[in-house]
Amino acid sequence: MHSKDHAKAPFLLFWGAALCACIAAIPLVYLAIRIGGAGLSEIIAILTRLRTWETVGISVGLAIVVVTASLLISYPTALFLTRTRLPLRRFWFTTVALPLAIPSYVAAYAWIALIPGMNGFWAAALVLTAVSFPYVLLPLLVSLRSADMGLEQVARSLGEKPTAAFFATTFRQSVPAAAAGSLLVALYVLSDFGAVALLRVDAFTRVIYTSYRASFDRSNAAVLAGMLVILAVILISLERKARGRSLRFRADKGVASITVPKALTPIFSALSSLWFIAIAVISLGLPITSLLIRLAQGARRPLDWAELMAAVVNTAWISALGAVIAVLLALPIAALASKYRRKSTGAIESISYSGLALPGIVIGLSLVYLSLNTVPFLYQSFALLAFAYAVLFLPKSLGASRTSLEAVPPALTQVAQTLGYSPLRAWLYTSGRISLPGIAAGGLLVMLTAMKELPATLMLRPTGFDTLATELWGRTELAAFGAAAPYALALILLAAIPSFALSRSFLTSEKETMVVA
Amino acid sequence: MSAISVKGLSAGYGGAAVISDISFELAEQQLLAILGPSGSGKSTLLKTIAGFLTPINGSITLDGVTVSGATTFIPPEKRNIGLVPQEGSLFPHLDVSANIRFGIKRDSQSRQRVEELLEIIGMKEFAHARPQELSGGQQQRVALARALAPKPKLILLDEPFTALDTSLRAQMRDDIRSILTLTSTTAIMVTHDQEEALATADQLAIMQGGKLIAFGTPLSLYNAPKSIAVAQLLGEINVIPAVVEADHSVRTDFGVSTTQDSGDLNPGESGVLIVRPEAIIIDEHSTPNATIVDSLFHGHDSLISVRMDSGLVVKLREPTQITRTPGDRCAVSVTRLGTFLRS
Repeated sequence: MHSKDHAKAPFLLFWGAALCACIAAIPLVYLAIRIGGAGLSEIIAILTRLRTWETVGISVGLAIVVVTASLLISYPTALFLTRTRLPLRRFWFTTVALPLAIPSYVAAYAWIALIPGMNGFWAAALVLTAVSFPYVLLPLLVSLRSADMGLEQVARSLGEKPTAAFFATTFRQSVPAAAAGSLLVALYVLSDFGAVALLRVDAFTRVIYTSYRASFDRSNAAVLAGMLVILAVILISLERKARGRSLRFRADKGVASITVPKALTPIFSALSSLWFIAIAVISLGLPITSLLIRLAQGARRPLDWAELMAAVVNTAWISALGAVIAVLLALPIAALASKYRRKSTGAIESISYSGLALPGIVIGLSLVYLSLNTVPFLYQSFALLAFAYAVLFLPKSLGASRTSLEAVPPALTQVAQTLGYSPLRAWLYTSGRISLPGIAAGGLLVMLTAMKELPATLMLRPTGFDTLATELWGRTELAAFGAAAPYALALILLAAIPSFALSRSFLTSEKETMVVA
Repeated sequence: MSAISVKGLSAGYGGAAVISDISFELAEQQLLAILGPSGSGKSTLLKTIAGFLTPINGSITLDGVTVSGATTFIPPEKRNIGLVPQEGSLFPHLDVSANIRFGIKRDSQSRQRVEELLEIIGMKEFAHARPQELSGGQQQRVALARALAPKPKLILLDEPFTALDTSLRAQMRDDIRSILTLTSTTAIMVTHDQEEALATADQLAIMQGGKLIAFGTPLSLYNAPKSIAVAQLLGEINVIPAVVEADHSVRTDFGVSTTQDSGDLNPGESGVLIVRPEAIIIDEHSTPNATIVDSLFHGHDSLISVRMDSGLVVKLREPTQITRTPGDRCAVSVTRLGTFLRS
């Protein structure tokens, strides 16, 4: 018999990570239990209802329209940015990523405040495209920038015309990146609650919310939530595949020929500038102007600073709590996945990514049911809300922790062990210490994202507890646009921080990690 | 007493054994090089000695103390074995002194010990440099100092030079060699570079397919390999068919001659002679018996292939003086017969 001393750490680590993954899977599992509890006949009744399929049609239709629009915007934009000497090129590079910083419901609020009464499918399509198209544009930019021009040059030397050469080589290389981005946009549209709810589009999330509020039909909400999760899972697995392929295109060694941007004729210069101005006006200019106008006009009641500050403080601490839980759940899983690659560890990691497939509304719904049915004292508690944030944004923390842990060579921990450090101490003093900034950054990202969260917050917040998001929501519903403006502004400022960091990392490094904001 | 003794060692990663039945002993202050192609199990052996793998069978004894055995397993942190991995293993968040100090207690002597080691590796002025500011060679010297700091019984070096430029390697090899001698350290180094192994080691272990196929001094293994595989791993060889004559001499296409160990050969036995290319020469004054096939220029010497009139193709190495043109006739002869291996 060998002493267990040596095997203990991985054993504890494995089961610790497995436990964390199971905790993260609670909302998904409970949703399944709840759907099962509805009974087969009820499920069939819901699935055969025309209204259910109308909802599917609206959601999927909305996703298709927004993805198409995003592609139509992103390709020319990316080509101008990577291939031409566009005036103010660097400025536009940063600006095109900024719309990501505007939460969908803030954008929707701004448009409604600008054009009161604006609503419906096409309004939602416009708003959602304006806030989510950078998900396609950014990977496309990276792909076009790093595409090996050598191939295009070879095609030219073989007698192809410039356009034909582009479509035969570089365009093809960019397709996986565009596909991955499109799937992220589709996922964003399907999960979005704020914009469709404010613009009164009966997409999945809004119907789930109304069914839940009308307490007589809660099975409907659960079954629809289940369908939404299935759609999300399909999108995520397709996105993984597409992203895998897009990475493979860049896995080559050697020096790629660099793109030399072309000078533009004055007319083209003006036209391309117009194109960028139009995008900036629609995605940033109009919403922000509308917000500033409402801010300047003020509300009927003067701004209650105490109320605003209370919302800021509430938002900050509950999000911070969620972030701490997310980091704690993520750490064992990240430590395991970064070091041990086996089927069982892969499964643990996949389970903990379930937050990606769970739109906020679904997590909210599941945790409401769970708390009401099994742990009533947790219903509408701070702990449950923070837990919802943790599960929802666990993938962000996990991604960041894992990436930074993986960057530490395992030899360092081994060296520390040979120098007399126990396995845990060796890990803490090497891997843990070196990846601390990355882990903390992941936690900060979770916090900043959780601060913008709307649907789960609406469903799980304790009575009387208001965050920036819920305050904005309540005021917009009441058409108190002036009163809502300070909250919208505060949210944009908050959200700008991670988006700015994200777009910077996109521009400074080619080794990007896509993050679903 | 030997510094380390390995007996019947088998180990793996949970599945089948990657290394099996490894046994050897190493005396104190000796440097052992483990040479083998990638996948031969040399790194697994190193990990097992360090204590990162639990053996399936067999034992490891350090200075008379069993650290891995049938009933004992001492974890890596209590073995007092130093480890120098491949390049890039310094703690990036610590400066050079802090890296060296990592494994020793902070007391009145620790500062002195660090300075002593900085002196030994000749890097006094880099005490507060960050690992990122050092060259690959400097990093490896610091890694060695860090491993030496707690005065380990044994140092393990895992391909310590692979990441270095070829021009730097020879210099680093000598540096590390002299630091180990200066500190009277017993060491085991894993490498896949035969030149490195031959030039650095006191003892050489050759691994293939998870087994130890040869163990001995570099000179004995190079000159008298016990198998074709061992001979090949240590450099270019000619495998020449040979038959043992009645008087224990061996007959080859080169004629009849005696080998060093022909005493135990039975007349009539057939086998092969292992002859290194540098043991074959072109004799300008004899009657040609071969034709030049090819000549590869290597700078200091050339590797020349000739086809003997019997049809046998052999390779020989000669200082680059004369240009050999394919098709030229020449006379080749063997100056030093290699080992006879029974077939």
